[in-house]
Amino acid sequence: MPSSWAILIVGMEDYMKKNVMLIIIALTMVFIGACSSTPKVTRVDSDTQVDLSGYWNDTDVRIVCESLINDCLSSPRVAGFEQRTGELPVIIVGSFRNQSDEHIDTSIIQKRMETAILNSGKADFVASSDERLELRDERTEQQSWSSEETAKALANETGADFMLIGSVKTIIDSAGKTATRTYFVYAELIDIESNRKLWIGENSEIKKIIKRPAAKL
Amino acid sequence: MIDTVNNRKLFSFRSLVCAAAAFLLVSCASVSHYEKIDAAVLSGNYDRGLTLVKEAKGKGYRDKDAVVYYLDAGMISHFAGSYEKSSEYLQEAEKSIEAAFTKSISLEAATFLVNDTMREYPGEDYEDLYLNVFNALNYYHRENMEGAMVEVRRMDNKIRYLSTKYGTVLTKAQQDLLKKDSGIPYDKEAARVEFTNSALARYLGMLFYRAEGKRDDARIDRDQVRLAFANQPAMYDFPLPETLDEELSIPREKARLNVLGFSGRSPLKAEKVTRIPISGSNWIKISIPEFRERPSRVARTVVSLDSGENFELELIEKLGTVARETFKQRAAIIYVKTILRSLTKTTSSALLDEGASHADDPGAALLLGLLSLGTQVYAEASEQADLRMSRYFPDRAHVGGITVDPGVYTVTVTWYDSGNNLVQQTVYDGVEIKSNRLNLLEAVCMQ
Repeated sequence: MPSSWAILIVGMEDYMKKNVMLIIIALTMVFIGACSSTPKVTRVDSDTQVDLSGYWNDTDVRIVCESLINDCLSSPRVAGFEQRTGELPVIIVGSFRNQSDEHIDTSIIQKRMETAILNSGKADFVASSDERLELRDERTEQQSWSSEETAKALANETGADFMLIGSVKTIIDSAGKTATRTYFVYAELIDIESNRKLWIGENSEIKKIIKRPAAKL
Repeated sequence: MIDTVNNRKLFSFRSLVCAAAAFLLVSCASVSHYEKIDAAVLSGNYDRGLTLVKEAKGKGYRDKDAVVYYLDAGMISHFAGSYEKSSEYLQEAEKSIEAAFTKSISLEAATFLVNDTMREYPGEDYEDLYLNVFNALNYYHRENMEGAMVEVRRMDNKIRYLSTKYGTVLTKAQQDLLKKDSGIPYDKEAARVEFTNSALARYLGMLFYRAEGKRDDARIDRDQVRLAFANQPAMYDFPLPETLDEELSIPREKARLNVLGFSGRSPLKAEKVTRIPISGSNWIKISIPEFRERPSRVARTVVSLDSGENFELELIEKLGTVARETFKQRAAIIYVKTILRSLTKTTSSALLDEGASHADDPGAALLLGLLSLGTQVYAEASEQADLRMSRYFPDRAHVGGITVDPGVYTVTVTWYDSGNNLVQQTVYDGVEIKSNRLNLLEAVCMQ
């Protein structure tokens, strides 16, 4: 064996002996790291703003709904209805159209608005067209199967005064690694009898600049 | 003379050893799973095809091939009529393409040491767009027009992004002509070699906007179909569909039936290997992808109604040509990178070989010789062309339409070969064609 090879091998042996503990620890760490298969879960407050992809998320729903609900409840026209008629306006939820470029579950906006307006005590809601079918089936069943005292009468539904409708739209602009997404959310209360609009709310506060990194490790 | 003979023997011996070792190593990254999937898809057994795709996840489809996996699964599910599943897969494919935009430094570095398959497959522009085309159809088939419109808007955003990425796609001269509603001529200033617009996506957008009553948006998309043809002559080397203008002039009391036909399977990337001998017993292996056609039997498609009317579908997009043209633009970079990488690998082998031949000590010479052989084996085994791409997009898209009285019809779509022999026939019974809405039939012939 040539002397240079011998020196190299002896040197490597020395290095291994001196650093054996270090190597064992490093290998153990790698092994433990590779074996941890359970996901890490952290609970956060529901108000915490978490933006991962730049798409529509829970924070956007919260911001939009808060603004639209406050706008609706503070509307003098909505308040004026009760003063004029002596009764709370009765609202039915219509369609909330997704006219954006992403698949958004608009029923969440609908439901949050319905909940907040109803709980404010400033308006009553009647069941939506989907919910109504189920209720009508139940009432029809009651005519045959419930006692006379408890069966609910047919054709005694409350007719709504207004329909709540809305839409979500987006404007996207992108070039290179940067894109902007702006959301326009509209909600309207329309008089069912006259087609007059009682209130229109708009939220265009959600504007996001999304920069995609070119490289990762 | 003797040296040359010895070199040849050595070259042959090394080649044999390398080939054997390479075979063992390469077999680990096999693409054999496609054989069974292809056979199932070609025979129309899409459920079986999808099962095979799922079984190959983690094996044939590695984590780095997520885009290909989701595209293949999404397309096969679409053809199987599992539209909800197809939507899920195609949306995952879209997310994976977005995620792969950010390149991993470590994986990119590996592509310079091993081969291009080391990186995540990022998807091509056309794949990113076509997945929305088929997802719009998925939503349409599920009677979810709102979902279909979301996909149409996504297509629109992507095409706008492509046009800003590659430059102008509409010249002033073309804009002026558009105002007069005449045909759009070829204009070399606006002509692009890159894929910046899709006539198929625009055509579909036109139909969906028309169904939504958005006539201006429908007109814009119809004009964009013309622009796609005018400005991308390499991809649209055939006439514009004659029925295009009819789509936006339907009498109020009438109804329009539209048929979208997909035929064939898009071409594949196949490996082309060249070995160039260099000093002594070393050689450079250059392995590059090249396109291989999967010929379709279909030459024409006829749609007939039980009311006696019939019409032929017209070609609107050669998806295979789009794939090939898109690849052509990147091919030069792939070739140069492959040659440089291969040269680096082989040079190290040649240097070790050189060292072995000059070493005085037999032990060192043997060691250096073995290292040289090992390096050459590694070069032989690791140089593999990146053949990844979605395999189940159709090769061609055809469109057509007819204005009829509203009613219930039996619609037959017949595919013929160039000799006018029947290739496939699909009968759609009880098709309700209504006015003021989209009545769209989708027909597929993979042969």
